[in-house]
Amino acid sequence: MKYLTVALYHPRVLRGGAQYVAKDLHDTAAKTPGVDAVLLACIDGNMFPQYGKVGASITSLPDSPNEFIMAGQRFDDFYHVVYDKRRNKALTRFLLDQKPDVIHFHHSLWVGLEFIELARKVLPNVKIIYTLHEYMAICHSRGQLFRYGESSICLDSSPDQCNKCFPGISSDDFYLRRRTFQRAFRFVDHFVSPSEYLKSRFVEWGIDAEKITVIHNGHQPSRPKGWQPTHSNDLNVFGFFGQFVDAKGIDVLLKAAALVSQETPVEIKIFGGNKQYASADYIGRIDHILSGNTENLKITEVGSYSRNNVFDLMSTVDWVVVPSVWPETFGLVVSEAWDAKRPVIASRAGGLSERIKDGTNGFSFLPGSDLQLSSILKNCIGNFDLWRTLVDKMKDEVTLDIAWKQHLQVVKGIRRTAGQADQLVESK
Amino acid sequence: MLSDQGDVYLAGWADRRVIDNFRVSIEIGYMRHELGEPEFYWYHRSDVAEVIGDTECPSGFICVAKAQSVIPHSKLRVYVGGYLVYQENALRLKSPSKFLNEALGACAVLADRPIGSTLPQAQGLYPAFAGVWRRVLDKMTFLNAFSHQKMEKAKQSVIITIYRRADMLLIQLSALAKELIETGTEVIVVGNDLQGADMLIEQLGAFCQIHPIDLSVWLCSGNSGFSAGNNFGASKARGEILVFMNPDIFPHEHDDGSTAKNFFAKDPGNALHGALLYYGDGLLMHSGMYTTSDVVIDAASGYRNEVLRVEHFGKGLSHHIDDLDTSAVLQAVHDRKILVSAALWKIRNSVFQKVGGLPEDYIFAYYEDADFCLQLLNGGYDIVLDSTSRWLHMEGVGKEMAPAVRSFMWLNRAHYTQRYCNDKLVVDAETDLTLI
Repeated sequence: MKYLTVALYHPRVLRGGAQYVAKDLHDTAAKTPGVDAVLLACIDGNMFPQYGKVGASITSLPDSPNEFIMAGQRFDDFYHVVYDKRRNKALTRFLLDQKPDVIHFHHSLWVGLEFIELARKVLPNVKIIYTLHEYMAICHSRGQLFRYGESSICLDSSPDQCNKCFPGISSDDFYLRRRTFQRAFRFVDHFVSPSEYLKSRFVEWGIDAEKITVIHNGHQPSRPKGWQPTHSNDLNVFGFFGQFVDAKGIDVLLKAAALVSQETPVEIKIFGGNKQYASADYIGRIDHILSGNTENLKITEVGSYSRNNVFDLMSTVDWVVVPSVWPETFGLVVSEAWDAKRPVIASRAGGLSERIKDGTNGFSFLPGSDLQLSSILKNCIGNFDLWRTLVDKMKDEVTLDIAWKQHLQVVKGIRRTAGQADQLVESK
Repeated sequence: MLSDQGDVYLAGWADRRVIDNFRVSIEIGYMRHELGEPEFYWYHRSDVAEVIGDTECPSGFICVAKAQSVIPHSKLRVYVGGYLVYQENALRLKSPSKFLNEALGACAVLADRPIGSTLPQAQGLYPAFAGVWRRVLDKMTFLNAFSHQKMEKAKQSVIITIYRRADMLLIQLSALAKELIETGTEVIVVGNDLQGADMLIEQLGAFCQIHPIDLSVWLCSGNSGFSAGNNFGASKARGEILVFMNPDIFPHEHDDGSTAKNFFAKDPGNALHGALLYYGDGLLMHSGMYTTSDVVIDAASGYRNEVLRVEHFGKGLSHHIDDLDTSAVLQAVHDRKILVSAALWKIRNSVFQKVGGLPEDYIFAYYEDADFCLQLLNGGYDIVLDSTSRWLHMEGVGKEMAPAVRSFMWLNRAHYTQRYCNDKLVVDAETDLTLI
């Protein structure tokens, strides 16, 4: 079986959750006997010109056979279409040359929704699956379903509600945006969602529930065999791992820690990059909290991390806090914390609420509630029995192998009939 | 304001108890042009009235005139009644299209007032503006920017005239592509003052790789308006049946393709066909149109007249695009001669040409479709509302109109009123009270 993965970016070009998932699955597929895995990473050629070659829409990734780069020069970030003649020619030829049995799309950004239709036209019998990594099709606001103006999770994605986040874009435009995504998604045989929450939002939006299978993002464990977790003397070190952006809720954690520090010493370590993408208002809020820093509160901004060192870095904290205020689709950081045997304290936002069972494998709180979080932090500090109980009960996330097998089940379940193919050929 | 073709726009105020001679002459460089006594259109200016103390006689004026054989020069002097009223040593002469737009924009001081107090001025100013518009229009050229012709013969021609922004076009064509191919229908896009045309052409090329539709794109050198743009599209049509379609018309998102297929393929005979149009939210916006009149008054001047208005049937009804039963909706249009919106029309090219095409004397846009419908009906042709055909019309909402747009709507309404105020098809005010 030829398995073509179409990703947004490649971890070697730009690190990010969706591209890690795509690359991991591609690598796992490549190791499977009988599977010929090919990866095509769609990137912003203007941002990474070193990966583009003049006149060539598709180029190879150095030292990586079967991995290709498609560097785009333009992208309509509202409708998620490209419509590039040269790219279409190259893509058509690429598909005809590669002849994949399965195309697994992992995104629409820089991929372009018309790619899906083109694939279906060129290869009428190809099985197309699409992993919904976030809410990009539903939400133009970074695909986060988070209302920045109101600092709340968006529970109603009607076009008029989108207009509230983007007053300069009409409801009709949002209606057409939804329609454009839904039209392209008609060419997809099956969708994969990393969480039930994300699935439910897309079902509500219009995808048939039976066409979406929930498969957790597989995790490659870094924990050495026989490794035993340790903790700090006072069991009062809390770590944040993630991007330093508004929707990740670092301000909620810091506010909670400031409240706790009025009674007991507490230490917060922030491992997070991309601070440049945080809003000025958000940075201002954090500076305001930090300006009231007490002797009991120690905050260290460590900087960004990668998955190559996340295991070691997590071992330097006792607890991992995931204070997101946007509905996380999965929460890769939870898998990493479980691998490092760190109990997770997470907001009940999106997919996080499915994974963190309050009091069983961690604790949860209302998104944005610094008061609730501060109570949890107080309960955790110095509570060695609690920490040990949670660590012992903690289970690992599914491995990549298991996730890949679940994908194979999805592929096997797709039945493309000759009639469907004929219909498409006729319309060519 | 002065154009390099000698178009003159004068605006200002005067105490008419003191000045009664409005003979105009202008000096452009060393040439003096006597314009005689062009018509001054007066209106009340409360700011002036407060200062000069005359609240009865209108003191503000607008005048549009034409000087012949102008030799461009940077020095301008304007005399009214023999007095030098304006001079400019570094005059910037405007091209006719810029003059037209800016003069229209300046006229918004009148257009924004109640029509009762400005209808005579609009009807008076219209011929001068129409003259400039005609000269602007006559200079326009159309360039074939893209052509992807797959069929030897086209049965139908869809004409899409776009003004400035084409951001919905690809989405629209995606929604129609399959049916266009299946019914042998070509698409002719006419771009008026189109922004980002290069990119659009590139994207359309890529679009045609995936959807091999028969498509040609013509770019106008400026903005030829709705009528001339569509008339040009019709002149290029290879199909006998013309479908005029706004770029914001879409089939319903759950449509199986039959709406477009049936509409394209069904011969309208000698009639003009329209369709049921719905807003993006699915509520009815159009099930035909009628024209009616309002009484307009200006107590200060004792003016009383009638002005025409075009109304849509169906607007405001709670009928939804998914509602199967249209009987209540069609009740009002049953057995009535109606007009249909040019947002979506279907007509044989031969009939379209016999009626003379869309009237180009309406400046840029508005009222030309109602005019065409009335001409058609008066010429003995029928207009049919194809109630089996339901489309979404993403009509822009909530956007403020530019002053120039408000002005040409105002002028076009005055022109439409003048032309059809006595037409037998105008619905009387009494009937209008209940017609929906």
